[in-house]
Amino acid sequence: MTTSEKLIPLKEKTFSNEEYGRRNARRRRVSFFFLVAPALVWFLAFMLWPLLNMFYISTMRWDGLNLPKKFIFLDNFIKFFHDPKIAIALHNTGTYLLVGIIGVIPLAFMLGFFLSLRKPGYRVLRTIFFTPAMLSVAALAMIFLGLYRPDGMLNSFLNVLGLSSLNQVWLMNKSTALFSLIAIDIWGGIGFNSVLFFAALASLPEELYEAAMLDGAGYWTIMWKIAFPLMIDFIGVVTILQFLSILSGAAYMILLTGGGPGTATFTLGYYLYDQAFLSHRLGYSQAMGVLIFFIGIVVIVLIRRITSRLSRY
Amino acid sequence: MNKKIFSITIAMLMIASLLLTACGGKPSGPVTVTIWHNWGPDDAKYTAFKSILDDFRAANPDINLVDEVYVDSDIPLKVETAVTANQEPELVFTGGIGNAFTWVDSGVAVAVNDYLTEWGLADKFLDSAISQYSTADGTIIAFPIEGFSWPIWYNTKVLESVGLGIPKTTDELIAAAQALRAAGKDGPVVASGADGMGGKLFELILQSAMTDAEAKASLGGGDWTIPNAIKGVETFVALRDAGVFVDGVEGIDYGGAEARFGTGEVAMCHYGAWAFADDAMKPVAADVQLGGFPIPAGSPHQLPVYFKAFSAKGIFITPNGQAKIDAVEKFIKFIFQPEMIARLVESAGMNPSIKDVPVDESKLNPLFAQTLTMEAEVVFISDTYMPGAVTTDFGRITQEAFAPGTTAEKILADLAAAYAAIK
Repeated sequence: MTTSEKLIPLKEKTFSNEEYGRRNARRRRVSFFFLVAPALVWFLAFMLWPLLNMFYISTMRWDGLNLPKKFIFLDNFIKFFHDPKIAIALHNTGTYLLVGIIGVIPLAFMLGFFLSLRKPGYRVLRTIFFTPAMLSVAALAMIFLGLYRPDGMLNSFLNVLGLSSLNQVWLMNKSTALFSLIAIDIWGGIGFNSVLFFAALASLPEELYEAAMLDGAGYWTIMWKIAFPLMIDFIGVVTILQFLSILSGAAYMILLTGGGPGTATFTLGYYLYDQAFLSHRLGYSQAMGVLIFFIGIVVIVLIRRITSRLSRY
Repeated sequence: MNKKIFSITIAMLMIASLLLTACGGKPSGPVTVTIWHNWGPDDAKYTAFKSILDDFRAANPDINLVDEVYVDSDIPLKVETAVTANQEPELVFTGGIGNAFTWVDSGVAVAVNDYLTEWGLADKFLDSAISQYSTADGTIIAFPIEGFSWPIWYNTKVLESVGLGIPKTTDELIAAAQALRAAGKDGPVVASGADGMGGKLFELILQSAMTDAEAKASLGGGDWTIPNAIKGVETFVALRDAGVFVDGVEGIDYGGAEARFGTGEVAMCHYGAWAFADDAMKPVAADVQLGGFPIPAGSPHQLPVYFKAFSAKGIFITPNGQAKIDAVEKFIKFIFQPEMIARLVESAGMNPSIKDVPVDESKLNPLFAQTLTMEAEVVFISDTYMPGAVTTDFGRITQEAFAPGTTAEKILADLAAAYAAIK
């Protein structure tokens, strides 16, 4: 047998365009599935499953991790209407959100704009502004505990200014406790969000500012008449982030006030923590989680609608 | 050899070796018993407890005793979570309060009734200690180990500076407040109004006007219409408004209160046996006389009142502990030997939960020694009967109660609402 006779003749298989397209699409689907599968598994296992569990547990009376659950359907939600603390928590959370967002977003935007002008020293300022985000919540709480103590820095500062009549027990006075906590969020939020705004504003073409300046516009006009309208969508995103962090946050209440004095710093996030970890009413706490979840969705949709409408103009 | 046959042979050998390993019987080596507790280096009982653990290890080389220190308030939740994962320690040292009373029913701990008898310990414990770890149906949830006195500390030097002795009634206390303030000093009582410790002083003042049964009905059952419960709250408000507490008491925490008293600034504070050996208290310890809180006119008590109980610490056996019950038995029998408990009494002023502890009185902390002879009446602390679900609300209400302007009516209404909410 000669060498040429041993060779297996290569069969040229030809496909029609249609068949080729089908095979290609199938191949793309398979590779797409393998690409998204890890993320999908992650989402189902660690996002969707816990979320579904929250809804499931919210229909239970469950008074301890190791105690049996009892299905009570909507009773936990009906209880909201008879629980005076829900109204208090909603009121405190609303106040927190209103002051916390209004106090942070405009100032953060202005600071971010200032940073984006890249004036001398802006790098140092940017680092300083971002510092609160790098500190742990517990460390921040300790700093502010020292500030707010009856013999703390704030009262000492007021004494130095001759304003000792304004001395307060800041965290244990009903009229100052909530605002003392909001002030911590504003302090940390302005710096952090200003760095976010700086990053977004830095992407705007410099020619826009230069053209406006040639037309005689000052920084104030440029900030509000040019940068602000172009940033509406991003402002919406930052507002949503700030909103979500306040809505579900409870760290400063847990560390500094325990929701008190009385119910002065009792927010929805704290109430959820209180019911889950202190009072061991797991079902009721998850019902509160569902409430927070829906409030979150409604407000996010609202913010998106407002910002998309504003950005059209 | 054919590759296929070779692969199958190797696989079969591996499976066989695994099976043989599994059938190899119990692994040899010591049994591990883990204890979770909070008697760490910051606690007055640390040295004595460590010596007990070391002696146990030396006497029982077949048991690997591991002790892990956690913050006391974190332990209950950590244990409950660990049990769900079957990762709990064998033994837990924690207070007989709140949710711990549900632990036997929920499988976090096992009842110790039978072990008390089988291990010959039943007659060893004080009845009052065992009763504080017993549920209504007679289940004993743990072995009580740490009792405490929680008296009022009087700095006699501060009181004498304005020519006063120790007040026995609330009227005398108000007079002392007026005298101290007239002399340019702060109010006589420092309390941690900002945390749960202040809540205990609030409770003690309420109980100064109530019988134990009334205290159980109000603090335990939520009946805030009892005349003496109302009187107790009104007494607290009257004392606060008369300047009995230091200024800004509502913002002071545990450490802050200890610092104020320890530097000799104020005349009175409310601290338990755990603080007898605290460094912060040492500068004034020689001037301290322990006693009860002054009683109001018409009080059902004859003497000033203070708390004394065993709710501070019990030893709970978990399901994992039950699985290693032989090792656990050895440890329990070891630590409840009178000479071991004596170490904790002598070094840390711990009230023993067992009888006949051979204490060398010369070694006792002088403040602890005072509690054995002080003229005051014990009232029953609510730890064992206040519903666990109401304790956080109770804490917030008492925080607010310390703030000027909070009326007795508001405090009573808030208390009634808090108890109603858990029914």
